[in-house]
Amino acid sequence: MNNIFIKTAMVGCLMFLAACSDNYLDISNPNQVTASDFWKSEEDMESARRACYGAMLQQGCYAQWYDLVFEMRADLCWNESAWRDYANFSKFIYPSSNWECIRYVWNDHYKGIAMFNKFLAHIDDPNIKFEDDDIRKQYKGEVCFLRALFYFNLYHLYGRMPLITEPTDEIIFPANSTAEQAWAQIESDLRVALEANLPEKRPDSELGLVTKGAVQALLGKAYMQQHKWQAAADTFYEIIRSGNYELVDNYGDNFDKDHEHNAESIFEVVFTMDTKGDWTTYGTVNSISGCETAKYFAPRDIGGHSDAQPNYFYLTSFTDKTKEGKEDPRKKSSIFYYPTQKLYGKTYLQFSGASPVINVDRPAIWRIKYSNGTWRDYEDAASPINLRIIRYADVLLMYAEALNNLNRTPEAYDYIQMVRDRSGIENLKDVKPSLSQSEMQNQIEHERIVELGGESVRFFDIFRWGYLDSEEGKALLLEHDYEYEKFRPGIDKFLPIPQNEIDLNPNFTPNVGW
Amino acid sequence: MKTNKILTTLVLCALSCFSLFAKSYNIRGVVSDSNSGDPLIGAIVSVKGVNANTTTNIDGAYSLLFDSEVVPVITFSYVGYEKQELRASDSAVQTLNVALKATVDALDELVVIGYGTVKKADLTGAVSIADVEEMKKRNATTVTQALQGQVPGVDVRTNGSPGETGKIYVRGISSLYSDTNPLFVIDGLPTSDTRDFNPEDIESVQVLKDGSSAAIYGSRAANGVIIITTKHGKAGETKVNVAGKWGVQRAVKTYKLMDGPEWLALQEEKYANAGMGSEFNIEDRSINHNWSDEVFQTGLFQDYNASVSGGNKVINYMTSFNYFKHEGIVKGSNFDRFSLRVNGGLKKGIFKLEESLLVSTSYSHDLTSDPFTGIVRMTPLIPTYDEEGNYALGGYNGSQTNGSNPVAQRDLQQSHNRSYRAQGSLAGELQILPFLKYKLNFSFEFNSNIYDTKQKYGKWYPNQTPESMYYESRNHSMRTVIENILEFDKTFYGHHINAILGYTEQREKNTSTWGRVYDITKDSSGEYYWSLSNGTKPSMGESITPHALRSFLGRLMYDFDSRYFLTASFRRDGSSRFRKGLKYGNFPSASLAWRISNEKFFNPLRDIVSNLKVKASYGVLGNEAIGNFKYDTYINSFIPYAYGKDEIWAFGAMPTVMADTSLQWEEKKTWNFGLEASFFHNALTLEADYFINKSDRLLAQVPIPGYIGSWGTIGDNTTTVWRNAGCVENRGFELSLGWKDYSHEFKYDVKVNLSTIRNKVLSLGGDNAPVYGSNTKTEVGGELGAFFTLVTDGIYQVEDIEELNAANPNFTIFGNKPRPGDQRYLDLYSRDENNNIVPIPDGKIDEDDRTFVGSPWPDLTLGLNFTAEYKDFDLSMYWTGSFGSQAYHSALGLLYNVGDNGNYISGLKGWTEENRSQTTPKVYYSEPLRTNSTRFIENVNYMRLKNLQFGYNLPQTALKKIRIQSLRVYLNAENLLTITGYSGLDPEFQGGGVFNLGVDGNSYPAVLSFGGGIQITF
Repeated sequence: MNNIFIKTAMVGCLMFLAACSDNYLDISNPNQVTASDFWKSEEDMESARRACYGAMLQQGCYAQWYDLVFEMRADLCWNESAWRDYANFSKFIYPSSNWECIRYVWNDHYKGIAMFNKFLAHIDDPNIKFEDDDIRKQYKGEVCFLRALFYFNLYHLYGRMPLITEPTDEIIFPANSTAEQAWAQIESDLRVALEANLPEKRPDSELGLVTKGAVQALLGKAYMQQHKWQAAADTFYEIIRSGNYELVDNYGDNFDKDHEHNAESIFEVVFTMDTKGDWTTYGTVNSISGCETAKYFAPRDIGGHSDAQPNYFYLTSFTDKTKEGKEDPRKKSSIFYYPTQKLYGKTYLQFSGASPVINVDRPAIWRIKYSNGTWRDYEDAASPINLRIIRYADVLLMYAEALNNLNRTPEAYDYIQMVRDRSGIENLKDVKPSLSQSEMQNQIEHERIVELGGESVRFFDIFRWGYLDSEEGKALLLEHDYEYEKFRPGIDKFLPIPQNEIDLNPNFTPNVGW
Repeated sequence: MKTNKILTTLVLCALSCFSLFAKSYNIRGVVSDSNSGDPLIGAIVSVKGVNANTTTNIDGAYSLLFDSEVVPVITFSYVGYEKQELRASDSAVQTLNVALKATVDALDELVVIGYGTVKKADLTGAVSIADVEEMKKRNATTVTQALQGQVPGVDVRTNGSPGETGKIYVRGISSLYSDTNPLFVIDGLPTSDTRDFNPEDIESVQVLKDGSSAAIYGSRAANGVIIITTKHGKAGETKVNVAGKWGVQRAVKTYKLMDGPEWLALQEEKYANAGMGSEFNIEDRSINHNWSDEVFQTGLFQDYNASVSGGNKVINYMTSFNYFKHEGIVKGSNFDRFSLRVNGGLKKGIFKLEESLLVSTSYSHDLTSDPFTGIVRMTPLIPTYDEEGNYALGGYNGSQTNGSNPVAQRDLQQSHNRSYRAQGSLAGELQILPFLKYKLNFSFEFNSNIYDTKQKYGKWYPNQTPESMYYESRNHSMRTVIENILEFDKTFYGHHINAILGYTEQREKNTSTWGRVYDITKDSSGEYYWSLSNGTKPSMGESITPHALRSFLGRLMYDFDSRYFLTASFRRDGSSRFRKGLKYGNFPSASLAWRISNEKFFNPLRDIVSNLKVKASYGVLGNEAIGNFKYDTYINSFIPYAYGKDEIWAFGAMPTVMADTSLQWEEKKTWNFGLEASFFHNALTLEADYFINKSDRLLAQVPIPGYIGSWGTIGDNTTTVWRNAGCVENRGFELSLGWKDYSHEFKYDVKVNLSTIRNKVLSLGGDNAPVYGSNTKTEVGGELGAFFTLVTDGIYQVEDIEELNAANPNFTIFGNKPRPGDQRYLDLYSRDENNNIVPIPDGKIDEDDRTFVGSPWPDLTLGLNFTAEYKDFDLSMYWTGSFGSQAYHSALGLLYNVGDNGNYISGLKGWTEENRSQTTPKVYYSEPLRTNSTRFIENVNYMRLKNLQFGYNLPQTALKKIRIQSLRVYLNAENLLTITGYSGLDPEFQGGGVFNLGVDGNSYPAVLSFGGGIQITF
């Protein structure tokens, strides 16, 4: 009997021993910090603010699709990529509304917006102590700017995207927004940013962060898009009057890696060469640091895709002469086409397909802006050149346009000429004196092509000028770019809302025509 | 005289009774099988009460020489046969031939269930036993491959690629998580890896299919439990087995692609149709390159096994060795494995110890690209090398493609995976009292995995940036399990009670470290230094995944007089994968059975019906297979941005992934109703089960709208979140019928398995938003992964367009007016003023016109096993079949994608006014191919001869001379014959996860293999 007790006790002990550690199942994640430990200090907010900027480096944002989508949809380049779905995208033909970039751009912009919303929901939390509450205000202003920028892009692509401005822990089902709601949201964020006492100039250690000028420029552009000419003019005038910006002497300095944050730059997205990461490693320890766009525009021979090439209309738009009677120097800084011009260490004619006789339909020419060919002999998925989102020349030309629309046509001359002078172009007052308002509009449209072509600006312009809404507009665009053949005015102005989103949200309706 | 005689006899009798003297006996004879008359080798012959015994020789003959005071009683015994005792006569020299009766009653077979065993006859739940002998006949690399079709209700999907473990579905899919594989328990160790495991080591395989049998494994049992027991030595017999098998393989089927002339003709036609004739500029039209030849090869495999086993009453041992080598049918894919197993046991008094240990290493050379895409994206007008001897890439010879040269990629980029694994268990058992046992089982698994990719400088696709790269990752994982079980087992007055009480803990930790460098240093001869310390731009990372489980379990099995059975079990599991307060789940079960054939009133029927049992069970199972830490939101501290004049690049942080903090155990409730019967002394057997499985609070990565902005994405940038997302029901019927006849010289055995399953989604959680996949939609009331797409009814002919223009001039297809030769779609739906989709045509084809068009779930799956023996020859075949499902044959999306440049399926002829095709539209260069329609959705019905084997046992007389006990040679063919109308490479394709179950994106074709082998026992 004793024996049994001993044995049983032994067994019991063993079972108990194995069972004794009480927190056996409480394992904390050794890889990541839990969110409940976040949003506590100024350091957290500073870190989160950097992450908000980092949202711009997503594939569907500036690291890849921004430049491509806005260039493809405009009328200054052609795309006959071997990736036919992509070539067709440029022709307003999509295999489905869930297609690659239609969805990536949507998803990634909203991932950014979710981050901005979280940040803005915490920035005013009094439990988070800031040494200087002005910094708190500035942070808030910066992130409001970013949110406005993202909605600005989304509006021009999808038109009726939902406006989400609060962080959410559960699935919500907002309805489509109207243009008025979208603009109200963008303006309201920018007004908050404007009142945030953002620095007019950033010290060296903060170059690249949002400035007051950047907020004003985007707000002015938002007014322009809505044809609020007076508000736009007032806003741009503030920038000009501030004297914070000037045109740099060398036009090409606006698109290379050696003259970033120059006096002309108002806002740019910063890319570096710190990692080998590409969009697949975004958000990991090997996260992306470069921009993938240059690869898409570069010739195939040196690792490029040749997917988006300048078209004949763009090439032949450089009709102005310098005061010395020479060709507009901006042409050579924008387009790779001179037989003896060198890029990636090779002359133009050494590239396969390049020809001294330019093919009118599909010229074998390449974009030079943002190319790394001036300093190395290849392109890869990580270009270190910052994308200039808004620069001073753009502001000057938009100001001129606003003035012209406000029936102050003669005043517009000066601001246009400032831009022409930098490149040594003849005085417009001499060449085309006393233009009418509509002639001046045409002149500004021309000026914007030769100054800002290939900088993802053109699509916003033709959007503003209404060319995407009418058959007449389409006819003009089709003259420039054969890829507008299938374009349906008013409908293809916007991309379809991804079918996935419509399938998952009963309150959504598809865009018109989809 | 007479009285004297009587007296003498009496005295002699008395003398013999009192053992006064002994007499010498010489008894000889032959022991044979009562059924076949075959001699039994190694049968034990002993004399009762006398220390004399022997075993029969190769002819079944024995000879015993002994002294006995009494007329001896001889005992004949042999494993698997009923013991027989015979009283000899009292002559000194005599012959005693015996025919032993095999213990044919399979119902006495012990079945391993969780934490114990039970006689098959006493089973109350749905447990299936795989035929291990049949499994071993397959040319299978892994246990999963070998299991294919062996058990009703168990659906195994594998392709033939080297080292592939495939997917197993037990009774359909009831989990939404992509890991739907069942839990494997190998000698008490729960594991998911079966790749490094030698199928030859298997003693038995049991599949626990219903809730009541699997509930004892509670957590993780929702997808079923497969219990594998490895071989141990048996007392009394020392066995040496040597076996080898060899074979060759090729693809059952490959797509026939266009050759040069056919391709050129189609290209010209499509460019001309697109009005871009001048764009098509092939320079050298003479090239005719078959890229398939560059990719496919004849596969080879070889498999060697050797084992020794034996033991006595105290110890037993088994050691085995295996080497397996497989070169796949796609060039550059191979796998080899070396494994060693040492199993042993000890029994002394009340103490028993059992040990098993597996050490294995495997090495695979993995494909770094999809071989199928490789050959389709290249055209027959591109050679492997250009004139200068460099790799010719897409774009060569005027071909406008971005295709990758598969030869270049194979040469320049190579991935290897080396794995070292040790798996073992140590189980001690203490018989405290005759009815009380304590078991302590410790098991562990250690795995070290080294994976590398070596990339040389060069290009395999045109716009690639050439760079050399080396990547290496090392994963270490350790899992330990400790189980304490107390078992009570007692029979009294016909009542039999078996009860267990247990406590188990499981802990695992996986650490994965990786590094990558570029621009690898080369030596003077151009060889690369493949090391992480010889490159630039280094990057690295680490991830650690700890996981722990703790369980309390108990089970009571009761039966009365082997007639009435009751089992009840309970398990409480805690998992580290859920938050505090939600960590524990409870998993009860109960089952009842009535063995009618053991009732007295049944006696008159017993000659016809040997066994009849009905059973019913209910049980709750759990699932926590979602990865770790999904219940909380974490900070992503790797969101970089640079600013400042020097552009100091640094990381910012932000919580980015939406998490559902209320995540908890997935629960599956199962009901099972079964009938077991056998007739004519078990010659005819029947098992039927009907089951209802209802999974609740399913854990799934549910697609959510992108505008939520969560970073949790899968696949093609679809935003998802982990949720307990609803409820799925599976109802099914399984029938297993067997007939065997061993009474003639021609012996045969036929088994048929049938199963049907009906799947229904009862809820998708939260708002019940449907889940969309590739041409599929899963919605409440429907089936998982049901096909949902546009319906095409052919091609617009010229007169159709005329009619259409007359009737509805504004008709559009995705905004375009249809032209002759365009694909037609049915206009089924429109939207009403409230934005609801209504079944009224609206004169335009758009996404709203999608409708349900098919099911990925077969109506019936079938397995058919036939084995036969005639004299020394044996034959076995195994057929599998499936009927009534549909598949989206997505590969055709590439093969018919004439809008893009690449190669196409041979025989593709676009619509023209002369060739008025009703299936293939007019071909245009640069027109996107719309794959979301019924065009590529096909019916899948097939019967396949999975395995055919023909063997020959060398006659004993021949073997005797070479001192071999048995020797069998055989020939084997896998996938020899497939009868199907399905045009895909393999009707048994794996599918693309739960919501895309019927999407056949197969790229590694099914493998046809011919082989043979030899099995020797010494």
